[in-house]
Amino acid sequence: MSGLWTIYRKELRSFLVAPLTYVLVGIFLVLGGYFFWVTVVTSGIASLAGFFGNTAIVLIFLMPVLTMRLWSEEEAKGTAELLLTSPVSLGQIVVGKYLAAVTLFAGMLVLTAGYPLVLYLFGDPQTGPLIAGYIGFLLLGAAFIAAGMFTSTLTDNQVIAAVTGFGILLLLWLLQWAGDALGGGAGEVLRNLSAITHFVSFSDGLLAAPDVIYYLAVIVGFLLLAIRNLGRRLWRSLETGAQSVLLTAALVGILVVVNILAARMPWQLDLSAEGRFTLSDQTKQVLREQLPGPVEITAFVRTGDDSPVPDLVRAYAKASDRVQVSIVDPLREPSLAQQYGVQQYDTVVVQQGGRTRKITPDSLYTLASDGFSTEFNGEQAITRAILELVHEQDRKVAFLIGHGEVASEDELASLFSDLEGEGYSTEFFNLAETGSIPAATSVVAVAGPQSDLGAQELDVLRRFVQAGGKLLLLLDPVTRALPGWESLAGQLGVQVTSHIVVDPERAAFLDVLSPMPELLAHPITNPLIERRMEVLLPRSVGLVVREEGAASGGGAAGAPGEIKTSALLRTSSEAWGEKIQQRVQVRKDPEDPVGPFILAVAVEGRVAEPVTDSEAASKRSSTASGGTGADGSGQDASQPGAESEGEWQPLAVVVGNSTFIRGQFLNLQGNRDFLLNALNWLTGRKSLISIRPKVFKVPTIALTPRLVWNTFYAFVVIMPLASLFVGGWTWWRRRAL
Amino acid sequence: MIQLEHVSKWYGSRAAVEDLTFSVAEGEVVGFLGPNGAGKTTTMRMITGYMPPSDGHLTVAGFDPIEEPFEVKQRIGYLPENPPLYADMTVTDYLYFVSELKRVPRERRRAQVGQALERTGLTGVSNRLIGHLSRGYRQRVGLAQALIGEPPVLILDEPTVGLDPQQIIEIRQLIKELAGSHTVLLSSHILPEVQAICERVIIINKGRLVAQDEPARLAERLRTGTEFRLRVQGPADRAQQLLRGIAGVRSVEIDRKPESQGTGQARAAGEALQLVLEPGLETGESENVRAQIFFTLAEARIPIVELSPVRVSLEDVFLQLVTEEQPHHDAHVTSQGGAER
Repeated sequence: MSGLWTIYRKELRSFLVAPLTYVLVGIFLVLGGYFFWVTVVTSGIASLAGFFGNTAIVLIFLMPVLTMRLWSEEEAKGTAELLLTSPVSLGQIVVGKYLAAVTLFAGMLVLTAGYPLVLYLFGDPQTGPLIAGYIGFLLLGAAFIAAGMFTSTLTDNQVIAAVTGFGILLLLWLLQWAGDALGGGAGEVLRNLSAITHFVSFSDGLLAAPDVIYYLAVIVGFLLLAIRNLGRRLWRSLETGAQSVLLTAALVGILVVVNILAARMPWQLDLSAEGRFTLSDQTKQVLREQLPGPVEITAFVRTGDDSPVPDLVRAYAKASDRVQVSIVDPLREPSLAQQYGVQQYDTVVVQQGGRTRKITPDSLYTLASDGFSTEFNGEQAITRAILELVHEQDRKVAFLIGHGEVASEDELASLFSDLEGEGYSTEFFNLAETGSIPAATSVVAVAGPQSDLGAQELDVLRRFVQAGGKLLLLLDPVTRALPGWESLAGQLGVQVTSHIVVDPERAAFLDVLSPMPELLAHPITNPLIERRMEVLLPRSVGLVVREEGAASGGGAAGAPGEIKTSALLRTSSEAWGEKIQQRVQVRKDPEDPVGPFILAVAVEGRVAEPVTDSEAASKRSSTASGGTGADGSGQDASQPGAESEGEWQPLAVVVGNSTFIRGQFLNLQGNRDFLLNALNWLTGRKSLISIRPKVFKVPTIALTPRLVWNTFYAFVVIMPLASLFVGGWTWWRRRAL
Repeated sequence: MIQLEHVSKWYGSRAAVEDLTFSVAEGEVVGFLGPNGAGKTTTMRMITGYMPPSDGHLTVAGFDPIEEPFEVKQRIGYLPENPPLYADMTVTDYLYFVSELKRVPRERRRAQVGQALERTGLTGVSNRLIGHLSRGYRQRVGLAQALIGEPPVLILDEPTVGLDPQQIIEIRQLIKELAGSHTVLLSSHILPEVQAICERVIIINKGRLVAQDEPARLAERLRTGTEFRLRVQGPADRAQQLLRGIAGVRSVEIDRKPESQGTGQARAAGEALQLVLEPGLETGESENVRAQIFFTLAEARIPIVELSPVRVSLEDVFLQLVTEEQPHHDAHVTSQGGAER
């Protein structure tokens, strides 16, 4: 060891008396300071991620120049002969020199201590990512130095050593691009070999075994190659040229394999403030105990986006061998994106046992209460999707046709795709043809009937509802009278008016015929209210809730027992009803009924008779807390007494509009969420798991204009100049020796 | 102390050293002689463990430099052809660094560095940067470096190259001083140096051992003929013709080189001839031939103004040895080498 120490000290000393060192440090400080200034000071983000990411590229150029002399100079000056004929081992020489260069680099990092100091003085940075970032940066630099150490042993020409080193580092860097371009498994392997891939998560606060092992493997590999290069002359070497190529290939191969094996290693230290790389215990338990077979998670993410989704899904893969994860850029693999109907970045598709759940970004992100940070519900959404796939059958939504309802697949394509992603199967049926409701139907949906319901049909539907079947009734303003439908609605406690709603106060884009009604608190609407989303209903028919609250059905033809109605959407009190005509005359006349009108109603009832098996399952878990973003408290409150006979069950949702589910209208405002929430509420799909969302707070820093410029002068001008000055002074002092 | 047995070193198909066998006894100072490219440096590098021999066996103090490198490297002080110096270090720092490399115990480093400085006459420049020193001083620093660690074996590759005459004398003096306590193998192409310092000379050419002996004996034994320098007043052609007739004279050449002819007054003193007697003549015979020369020229009335023997120096031996290509001489030398073992 003493030999190593001797070499180390001598090398460090050589660095410290060489003017080139101070020039390099100066360049490092100029560029590093500039990147800090741009990514932190002028952008107000109190994180060094930008500094690390940009300066890492500078290292590709700087490090080979720093390391080029390590061995090339010994060779050129003949001092190699002294070292190699002295009682020190090659390992001591190579490692001693290597550690000296790493120490110098660590010293350069110490010189950047002013950056975090500024962060702490004027902002509220997250300490974890800062520490992890510095560790990652040190590892990256150390790996680069090892590569430079290696190229320096190739030649006695320092320029060649530097250029070769630069080439190797560039290659290590570009492998990621190559991997991205290639895609698939081979691309993933290439990406995994790239120095940049493993660097990214450090500055987000993750110390993960695969990343650390990658850099250590690169370091050990290059140092071994360096030692072998020197040893080839020293040892009684019998290896031929071909053998030496083989040996090098074998060593590189071993490193690649180590790296691939390491990629699945679960050990990690999550230093991020929000724990973005850590799964909750609930998820871990689900993955550990409840997976009957392999689960595939595909995340569609744009390359280069700073999205938490890839980190999250990779955490799933690390947590369980049964989870296969792929990160897909929909631009690069459009066919895959099309296959799953992916239309937005940050969409996650979960597959298990041939079934699929699609999670759209809407359910991944919500704005946090501070109105600035983002809440990330990714884990909740993905784990829930897995649980649903494992534990629940798909529910069937049967769309009734034959009365001029929306019957076109095209018009409902977007809706059907979303429903499929949420675990619903869909089909059309014509009651006049089938005579009964298709087997295993959870919800019968009626979307905008234009003509009336036959008596037999009405009877079938009534019995369906009485038996606990769910109804989604979307009624449009129709010029003729539809007594059958009105009777059905009436049985549910809803009276359908013969007026189209005009709401001058709450209307979309001043189109008074497109009301954006007020959302009334209910499990269906609560998630939208939280997220400040509206529902937009062009051309709606006004509804009147006959008896608000609990009431008896009272209908002559087989009442379903007690029912309870809750208004979901209500127009403003400025609204009035116009007579339904082909061309509506929008003018408030004295005889026009005045608002507010109800536009959507949720109906619950007490159902005495037992229902079908599948319905029983949903009944058991059925509570009032359905909906995509239901909070845990409602769920807890409804748990006790779930089996009791007299429990309120969702029966129907009646909406005075069907346009909002057609084509592009579904994507407007909160329309999709409203519909899905309504279906989830009807089918009693509760939130199977509740995981606290992760809040991504953007750490901020605010500097006065004066301080902005002072930091510029301090870090971009004074510090680098100081380095040059010290270098010059060192030279001047030793000039006369 | 140093033992080479049938050592060879090939670079690809070219042999730098071929079947080299010699030994250096403890305390001996041996000169290693050969023209550029003869394999001197390669041989020394193999001894110091800087490169392995391709074939054969060599030991230093009983250790194989490749198998037990530390044992060998700790016992050798090595001055390579180019002194291995760090230009950015001061002389003292450098010597301390070397003393650490050579594993000199901490408490003895000071003394050793001081001693090395003193012995090589570097005390005055001990705090100067090596890069700022003259070539002569640098060579001395290189030598001082080799002395650090009190190695019993010194391998010095061209220790006086590039030095001015005064420095050469000093270095030679130093090596002579070291001779008693160290085994020294030094290479050189400056022959007087080897003659002056070494007890024994090993001559190699093209990687092969050519001869080894004490400097004086080597000169005598390898003498191929007796050369005389003759200056006559009169026609040189006639003299040449006459002399060729004498039994025992191998060759006579008229030396027309201007410097041999002399200038001005000296030119009048006559013409110079180069005369070589048959080799292997006994001392008495040689004198008879010389008497015959005198009488023959006297008879032809060509006065001899000068007749002087040309002394065969090691330099001539060296030149002869390394230029002689005839198989006769190869066999001759090889048999001698065999006798030496």
